[in-house]
Amino acid sequence: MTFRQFAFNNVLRNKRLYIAYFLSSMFTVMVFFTFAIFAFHPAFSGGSINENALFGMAVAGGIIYVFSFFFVLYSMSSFLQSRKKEFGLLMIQGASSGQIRLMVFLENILIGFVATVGGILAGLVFAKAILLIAENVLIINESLNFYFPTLAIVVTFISFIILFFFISVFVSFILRTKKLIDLIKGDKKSKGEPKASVILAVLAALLLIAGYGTALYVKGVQVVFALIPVIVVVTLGTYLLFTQLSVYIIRRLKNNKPIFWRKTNMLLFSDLSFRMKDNARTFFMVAIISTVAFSAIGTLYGFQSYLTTGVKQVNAYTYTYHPFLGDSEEVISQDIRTINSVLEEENVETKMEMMDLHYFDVMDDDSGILIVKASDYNRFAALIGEKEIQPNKNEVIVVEQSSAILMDGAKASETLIQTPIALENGQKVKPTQVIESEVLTEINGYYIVNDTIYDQLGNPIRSDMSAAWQADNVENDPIIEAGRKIEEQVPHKVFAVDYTIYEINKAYGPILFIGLFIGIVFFVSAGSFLYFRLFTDLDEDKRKFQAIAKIGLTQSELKKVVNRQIALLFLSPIVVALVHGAVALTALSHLFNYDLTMESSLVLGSFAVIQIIYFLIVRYFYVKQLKSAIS
Amino acid sequence: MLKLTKVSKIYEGKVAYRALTDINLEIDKGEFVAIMGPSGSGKTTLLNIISTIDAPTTGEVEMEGKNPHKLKKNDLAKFRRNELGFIFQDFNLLHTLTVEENIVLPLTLDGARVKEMKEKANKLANSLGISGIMNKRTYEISGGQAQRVAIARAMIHEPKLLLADEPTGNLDSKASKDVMEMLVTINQQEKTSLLMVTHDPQAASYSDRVVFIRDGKLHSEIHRGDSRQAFFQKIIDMLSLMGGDGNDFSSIRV
Repeated sequence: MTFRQFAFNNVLRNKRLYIAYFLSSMFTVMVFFTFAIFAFHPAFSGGSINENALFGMAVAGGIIYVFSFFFVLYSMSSFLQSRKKEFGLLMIQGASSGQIRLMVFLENILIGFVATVGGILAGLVFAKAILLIAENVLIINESLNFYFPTLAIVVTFISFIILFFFISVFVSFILRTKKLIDLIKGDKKSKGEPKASVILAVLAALLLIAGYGTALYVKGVQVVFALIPVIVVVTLGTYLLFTQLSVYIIRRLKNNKPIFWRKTNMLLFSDLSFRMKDNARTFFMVAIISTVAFSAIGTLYGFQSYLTTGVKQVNAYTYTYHPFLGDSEEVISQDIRTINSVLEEENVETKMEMMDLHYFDVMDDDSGILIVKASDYNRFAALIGEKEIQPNKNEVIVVEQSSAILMDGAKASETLIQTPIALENGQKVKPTQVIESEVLTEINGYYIVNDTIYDQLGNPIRSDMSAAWQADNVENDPIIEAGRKIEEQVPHKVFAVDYTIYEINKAYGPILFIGLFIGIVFFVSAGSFLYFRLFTDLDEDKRKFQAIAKIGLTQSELKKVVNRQIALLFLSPIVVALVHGAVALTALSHLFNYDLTMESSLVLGSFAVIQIIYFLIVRYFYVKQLKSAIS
Repeated sequence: MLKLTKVSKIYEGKVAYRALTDINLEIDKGEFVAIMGPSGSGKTTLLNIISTIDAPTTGEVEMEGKNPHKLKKNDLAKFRRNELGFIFQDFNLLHTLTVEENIVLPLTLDGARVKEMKEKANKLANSLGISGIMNKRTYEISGGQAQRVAIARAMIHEPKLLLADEPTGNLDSKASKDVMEMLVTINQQEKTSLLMVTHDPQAASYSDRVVFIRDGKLHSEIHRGDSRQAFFQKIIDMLSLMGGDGNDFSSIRV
């Protein structure tokens, strides 16, 4: 047995110990590789995707790579921690620290190589699925066919061989051999119960409250200025929450004998307090990483919904036509003929309405205020199924659009409702009520009057016209296609909602996809941090429960203790991250003054569900391991 | 060959604890010395200091005129590899390796040739009676076999000093007897100096000299005469003398 054989055998015959490290390494390779398959797809090199998106993908690749480095480094160092005794034994046999470093280096090279190859193979299996997802999220005209990703394989292989090489060098360098006696007794020695200072515990609570308070209080543009200070304060608060406040609370609980000495609580709390030192760091990291993932995905998703619903709300009809100011009657009728013929060509069945828009001098300004005849309004309302309005002779109704429009200052309706309309005969009619409707797009709001009153309004200061088509087809594709053609043939005068949304989604798709990808990478790696944390303690737990089982511990009691222990480990950082994420997304919705409740609860909820499923799976295996150790 | 001068060990902590006080001890080449004493008397601390696992707070350790605690890291590793052999109560075999691989580990670390390692391992295995289990893994063998594997591992590089910490602690009486006889044989044939910490008077009676320590101080020492039987009796007597104070039993019960 040469030294090299020894190092390799040590890995190959001890698979259970290395498997977690190996899998997480392989996972990172796989993520990077699937991303590379996507990014290097031949469909993109043709130029169907713009340069910004390609640049975004390169940056995303870089982020994933840098993150992989730290992730693998962390996995490795936490893995080395659990092997102190082994190193101690080797040193007693006369291994120099150089030899131990060499051994760790060889191990890493071996694991890194296999993980790289394995990750690429696993990535190939998932490649088709990833491309299918990408195709649907991205909205690209060409379909993303499966191809043999030679370039992606080469790039991934070289990148990760380099990464593992550097990590091997790095890890064997930081592996300082401490005093031999500490190494040998490493697994027996308790790291001691961490202490909590009351002041810092209170400070943790204060920082979190201050951060949350500010984030929830600020509105509009202030959110941008508050962003950095709030992030700093909340991050610090989170750190202190796990290192101080939680320790403090556990201590208080321990001092409360009726609680602490109640059944299995003693086992749970004593364990918690002793592990808190290790746990605190993991908790902090997991909470922050998950918060980043939640907020990033929530923001991107919320932003997309903000863009598309905004467009939809402002433009209720499938197609809306507004001529330019100087367009003559002929140009207008020519335009409308063109539009109708395109619609016919594409087999889009529509109902169409036209109306002249007259602006009157109500408030003594140049642009005037739009006043609409009730019958005109009702024709348009019928197209999109809005309620008809029948004002009486001496009634004026103020209409404004719903909150979809961003407006600073007073709402349009507030001034309109106070302004009476003067008729030709000198009579004045006062507005009586304000309604919200999407029938006409007029940022400053407008009035609706009875048809008879309308005739007495006199001459308008300017006139305009509008035409609207509402499609009956249920299918989206011809509507979009027609929209594209209409925009080509009658540029800038027609607004085709579905086509615009399609264009927005197309431009936004890559960003959303990349964001999702990175968010998921962060989230999954947070999960494996927790997994590492848990399984470092497995042997100790086995020993502990063996001892307790001898005194007498039923299966259900064992389950209960382990259940709570794992639940606390897995769920508490995620709960913190969810709260962080919820606050962040609320602040975001304040920035845009747009309700994100649906979007954020969808994003946060699905992450919570995933984490709970993950928790259930891990718990099942952990309990199984413990049970087999006891019986 | 081994000389301890005024070795003291104080464990720092919330309450500083004095584990060893001014130990002077000398072991000649080829001598077999047993260290005995009650639990917590500092036996293992002393062994750890001699084996360079732990460092003394004050005092000198000299092996053949050199102080191993003053060696540089890499020299210390070479020193352990070449001069010392270890036997533990719980064997401390690496469970990832086969019996044979465990035995040759010290030579592997030294970068010896495979053929030479094989030869040495086979020779030792024959003399220790473990040739039949060379390809087994450590969890497939009994405690007595495991300790013999550990002895083989400690002996393969022909160390000058063999250190044993409760080598019979986990073994039944038959296996204990076998292991002790092997150690004596090695001690006599190879002229290897042997230092053993033990609780077991039976095991201690195989040595040339027993040093008793108590509360971190040297208490006394007794030498073996011709008869192992008589030596065993003397050890028992000494232990019972050390075991209690004359006034342990109060004459008046409260």
